[in-house]
Amino acid sequence: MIRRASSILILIAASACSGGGASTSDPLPPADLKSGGLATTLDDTSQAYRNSIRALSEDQASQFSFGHSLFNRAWVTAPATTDNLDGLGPLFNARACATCHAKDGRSAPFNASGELLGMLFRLSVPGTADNGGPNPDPVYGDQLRPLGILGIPGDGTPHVTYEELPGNYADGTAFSLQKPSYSIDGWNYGEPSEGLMISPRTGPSVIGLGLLEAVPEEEILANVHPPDADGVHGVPNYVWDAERQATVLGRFGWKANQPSTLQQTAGAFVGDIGITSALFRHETCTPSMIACNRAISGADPDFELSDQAFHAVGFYMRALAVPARRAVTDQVALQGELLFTKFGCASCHKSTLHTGPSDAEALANQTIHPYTDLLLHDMGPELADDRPDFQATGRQWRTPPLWGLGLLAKVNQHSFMLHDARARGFAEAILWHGGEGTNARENFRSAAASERDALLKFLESL
Amino acid sequence: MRVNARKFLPCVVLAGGLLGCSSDETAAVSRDAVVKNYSANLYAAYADSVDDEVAFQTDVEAFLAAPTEKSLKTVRDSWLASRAHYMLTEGARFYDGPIDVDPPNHEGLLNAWPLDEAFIDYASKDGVLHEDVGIINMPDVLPEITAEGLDALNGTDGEPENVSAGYHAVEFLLWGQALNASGPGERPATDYVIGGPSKNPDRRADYLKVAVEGIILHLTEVRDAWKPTASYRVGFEKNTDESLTHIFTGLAKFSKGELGSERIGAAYESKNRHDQHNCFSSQTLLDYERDARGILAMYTGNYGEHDGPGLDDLVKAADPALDADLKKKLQASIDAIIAIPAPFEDAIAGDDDSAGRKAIQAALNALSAQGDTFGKAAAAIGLTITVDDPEE
Repeated sequence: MIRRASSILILIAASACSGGGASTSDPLPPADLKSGGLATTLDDTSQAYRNSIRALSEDQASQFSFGHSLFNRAWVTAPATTDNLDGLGPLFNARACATCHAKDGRSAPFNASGELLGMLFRLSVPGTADNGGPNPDPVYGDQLRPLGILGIPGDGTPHVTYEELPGNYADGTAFSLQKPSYSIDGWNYGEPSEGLMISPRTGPSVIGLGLLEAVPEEEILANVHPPDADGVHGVPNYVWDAERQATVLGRFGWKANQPSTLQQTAGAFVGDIGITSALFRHETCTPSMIACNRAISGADPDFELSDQAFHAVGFYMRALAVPARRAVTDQVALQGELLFTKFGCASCHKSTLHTGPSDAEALANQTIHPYTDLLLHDMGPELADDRPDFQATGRQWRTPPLWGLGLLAKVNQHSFMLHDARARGFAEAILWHGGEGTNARENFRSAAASERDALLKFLESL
Repeated sequence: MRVNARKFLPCVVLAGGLLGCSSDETAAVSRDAVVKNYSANLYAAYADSVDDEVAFQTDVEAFLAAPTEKSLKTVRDSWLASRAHYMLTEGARFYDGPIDVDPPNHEGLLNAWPLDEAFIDYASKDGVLHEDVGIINMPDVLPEITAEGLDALNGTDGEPENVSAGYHAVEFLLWGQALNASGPGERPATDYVIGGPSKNPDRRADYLKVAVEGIILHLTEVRDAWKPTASYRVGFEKNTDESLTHIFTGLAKFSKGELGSERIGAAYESKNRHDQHNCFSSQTLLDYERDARGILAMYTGNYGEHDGPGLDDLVKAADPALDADLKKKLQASIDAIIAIPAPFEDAIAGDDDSAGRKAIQAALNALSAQGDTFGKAAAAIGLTITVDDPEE
């Protein structure tokens, strides 16, 4: 279907461009609808994030299916008859991957009762760990787990309050941004250490990760450069790879603090759900958490996530297709992309990257449009979490991919964006940009309403 | 009652200018009539499910009044019977209908699997019995077992998903953990005998009663959302094409993704007996067969003895060969499930050439094919649904 659709588009493009010039009356050529190359899905429904890439081998297809099942299943307290799905906690953030990554997207930051849910709070104290990463709190470790299994209290309870910050576009139109303040109370294992640093993060959608993993390191590093006229310069994060026991380029997570989907997956299993695996074999109870350390393990016999299950989820994480771009001939949306470049957004949100070799046909040697450079950028004090993470400073964040984001509202019924979901839609997300993003933000803020609308329409088409 | 107000409209609408109306066709069935018959059947099935559970509740009370191995056997049989109609409703999933919409997530509260057994009662691991785990054995955590108390306890951990309630919680309380390689759990009736060998029999009885009340409550709410006057049903019957899309989507996704991949495929893949619903009672195949029969009935507009206008009438009018093919496939899935040798946990074991695994693979293939064919059938009457990965 994709192949047929694109050949039609090429015809349209050919006829549209026959005039050759770029005069304003000429229609702009259509955009490439294949955001993920061969790993693109045409599904634009509420299930748009949950499709597999094409051309899977029989074995890969069954891994995908098993991985999907595991991603969505709730883990239970050990011991349970479902001995392959027990071992929840003792401390945890969620019972299932899909709790925070609902429908392979991103859950809202709050649950139905208004409690913080699709949100994680990284913790650390000053200094660095042996592997060069954040220095965990001696009692609470490196993340807050608000929940515990029966009889084991969670770490504590996070809270957020918002303050409205009014502002104006250059044309006088008013907007308002909500500025979050976070606090944690009800610490159940004593007060945390002096100087505790807290970094709030939402679970991002998990589409297209296999493509990003297949982008050769040289292509990412080629975008590293000294500050340009706008002050934009990306820098790589170098992080600890537990599998290879080496410091390597980071590319996943809000701070590019994870080197691979497999490590990200294993880290989330042990940190968020309390499920040990071949890569991270130990629960995260710290020595002073007595009940936590005594809790019954679901390990069978060495760890809780079987290797077969681990590799199935690992493959699933790489094999979720990217939704096709929509409105590819819509002139307003296309104009919006030109403005996206003109305003400077595309300096970091790179439209095009290429993948190298891969074990999956649809991931190998593809031209993709993730709208990220996978590098770190200083985003200014307003967005700072003031918590270093390997090479990333407290003001740096990795450029998040934008592909598929236009379907967020349809898939997850909300439009919360940025690392802590403070932005209520694209416009607020742009208006929060500071640091290296200041000029791009100001270009947007001072643009005419029609131009701002065009830019937003472009983003909605991703 | 089944007067067809739009008798000749479908010829125009459905054929899309490609096919004429064959003159030998008897009164064509309207889309409205199909949607109305679907909701009436579904309402009847949920109403029967409520009645089943109320009847089961009586049997539970009788058992608790005099717990013996004999009365335990009776109440276990009653549990199996209590799911007969509910299974027939499961094709009505995956379109955010009353059963799925979250919150309140009735489906999750009714039928969640796996179950958090150690949250409920004692449990064993590697031959070691942990008799002090679970709410039943932790009076300090919840002094009195009530529905409100359990809700509050679930509320404190901020989780919208509750895996300590529903049909399988009751199954666990009747059968206990299935610890052998094959066959059901062996919970003794004395678990409920006051002064017997097990701790907390009174609290176990309270939990069982509360769990059954919860099932009745959730089923009742779903049933009432399908009442003829309920706003969901009124809207459902008004937006005919959207509802037909929902109906097809539910049947396709339930066939291929849920019953196929999730419920049968995951266990086939892991070869783990505990990846099956009804693990405690070792009666999983019964569920699968009921589910598959429910799908066929939903397609043909049947419920029990009632045979009303169905999706099959619409598809047949547009493409008789496709309708025949789909019906054949639906029956083939039922036959393939029946052909799996019981118990399911034995069938998944072994190598891929074993009779059991070949039979399961055949059922998976049949369900996958039927899911895809639902997609084609929807397309034949001008609807677009997502079965799975749309471009494959």
